[in-house]
Amino acid sequence: MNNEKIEEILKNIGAEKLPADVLEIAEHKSRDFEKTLTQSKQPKLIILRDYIMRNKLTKLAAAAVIIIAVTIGVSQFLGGTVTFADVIQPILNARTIVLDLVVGSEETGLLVHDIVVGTKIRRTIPNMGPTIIDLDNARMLRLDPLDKSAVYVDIQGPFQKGMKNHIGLVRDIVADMENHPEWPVQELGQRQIDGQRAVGFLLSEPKMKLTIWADTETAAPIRIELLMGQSQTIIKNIEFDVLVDESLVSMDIPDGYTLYEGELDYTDFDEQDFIIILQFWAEHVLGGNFPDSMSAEDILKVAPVLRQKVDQLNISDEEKMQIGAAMGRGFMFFRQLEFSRTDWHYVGKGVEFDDANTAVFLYRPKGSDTYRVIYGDLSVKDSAPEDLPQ
Amino acid sequence: MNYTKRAELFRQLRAKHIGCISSVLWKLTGDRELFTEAMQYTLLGMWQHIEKLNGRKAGAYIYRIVLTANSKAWRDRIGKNGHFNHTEGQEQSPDEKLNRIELAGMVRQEISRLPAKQAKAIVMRYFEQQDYENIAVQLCCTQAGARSHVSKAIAALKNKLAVLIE
Repeated sequence: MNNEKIEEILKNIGAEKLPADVLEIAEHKSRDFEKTLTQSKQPKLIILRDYIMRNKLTKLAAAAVIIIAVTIGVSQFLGGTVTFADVIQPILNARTIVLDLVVGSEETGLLVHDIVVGTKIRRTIPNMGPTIIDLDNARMLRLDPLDKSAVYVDIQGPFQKGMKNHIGLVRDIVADMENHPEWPVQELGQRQIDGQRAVGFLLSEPKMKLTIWADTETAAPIRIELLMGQSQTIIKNIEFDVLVDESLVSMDIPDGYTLYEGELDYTDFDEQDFIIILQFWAEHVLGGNFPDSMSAEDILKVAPVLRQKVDQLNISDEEKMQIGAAMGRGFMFFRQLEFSRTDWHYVGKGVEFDDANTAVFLYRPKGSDTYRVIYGDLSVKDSAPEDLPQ
Repeated sequence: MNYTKRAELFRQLRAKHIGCISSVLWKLTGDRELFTEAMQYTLLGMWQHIEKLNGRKAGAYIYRIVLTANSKAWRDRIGKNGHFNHTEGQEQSPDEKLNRIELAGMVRQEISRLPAKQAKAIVMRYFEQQDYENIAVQLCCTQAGARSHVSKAIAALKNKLAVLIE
């Protein structure tokens, strides 16, 4: 094909007359839009939202506009049929949410129970006691029912962001859709979930998949599946805007508990924190071998064993507490790799602890041209993409 | 600008430009569904940027809004099924018609992916038959610059179509 051929095609297109019915469509649409503007004194974003919903523009665009509208406090929209825009409303607006989340697969994952009240969360992990997270003030209160101890944790900085509730994460993704109009929302049709008829929507981009299943009658989300990198989280048994005893998210020390003096520092985290997890896991749990796989589910499952191993060390309580804190930070380091959609790979299966020549874990920090490669002896080197160990 | 003024300005702009907008969008889309979607994006864009459309440069801004709307509509379409819909065209032999329609569809799709100035230059030159002097004024560049934008756009279209056809 040559330039003349292209020019000929362009000229032919240019010579096409506007069909009368197409002009009618344009006139009709624009008059309709204009009428909406002049008939209403509502803020512009509400008008745009209503206009879009009526005119069945793409659901993605509709969602984006509604998100903007939510920021100025509009009320809920409930249309005749369930759309993605309807489904995200309670996610964006609810003040109290009670939910269960499964970190990992449905069958084997770790079950966590969250009570969310505004910006506070009471998170309960089986056998680990509750933690109250105050996102506004960037503090956590960790309660241990076994020894009735309590400790405050400072989570200013990146940890604060990483600790947000999972619904908050879903909110962020949905809100981020405004900046990514190319993210497609796919309708998954209907299926039965926990005895309820549900309609599904899938939002996917290369390193993230968000699936929301909602009640076909009420549009309330009943199951949310979030796959980021290699880690899956399932949110289920969701109740929006239910009555909650707000003392459950109080940051006061409960009666009978003893406060640990001092505050743990969770204000930052880095790869060294993550390396502590790798070290304890390989050296103390697996007898000198690195684990077969690495995911949030894997780490959460091994966490009680890691804690036990730290407790058995012949060091002071203060040092044990600090190692435990470092592991918590290490977990956040790993999670933020996923949240930020960083390119990372775990290659430690079959690698022996102290092997200085074999890579265990590698990741490419955001904005970096090179990868950070953690080896079996826990040394870390920078490596260009073309020089990465096979 | 208060709400009433915004709505009034929108009404005036709509009355003045709807014919031109429709014509350009039809040539860019060649498909009723795509046209409708691009038209809605255009109306939204005009309303959202209404303050910028209150002056001498209104035409230039509307051009930009129309091209952005066209790109969005194409992007939605491509995201939906990865294909473009066939243009509805004139009477020709079936093979000839199919070939022409497919090529025109490909050209339209690729125009939606061109850099803004190149797309604008192509639309003005071939869809509106404007001379280079006028295009240069609209693009705020010299006539040579305007010719360069058109040439680059044609070269880009040629390369992209060559890949698609192969």
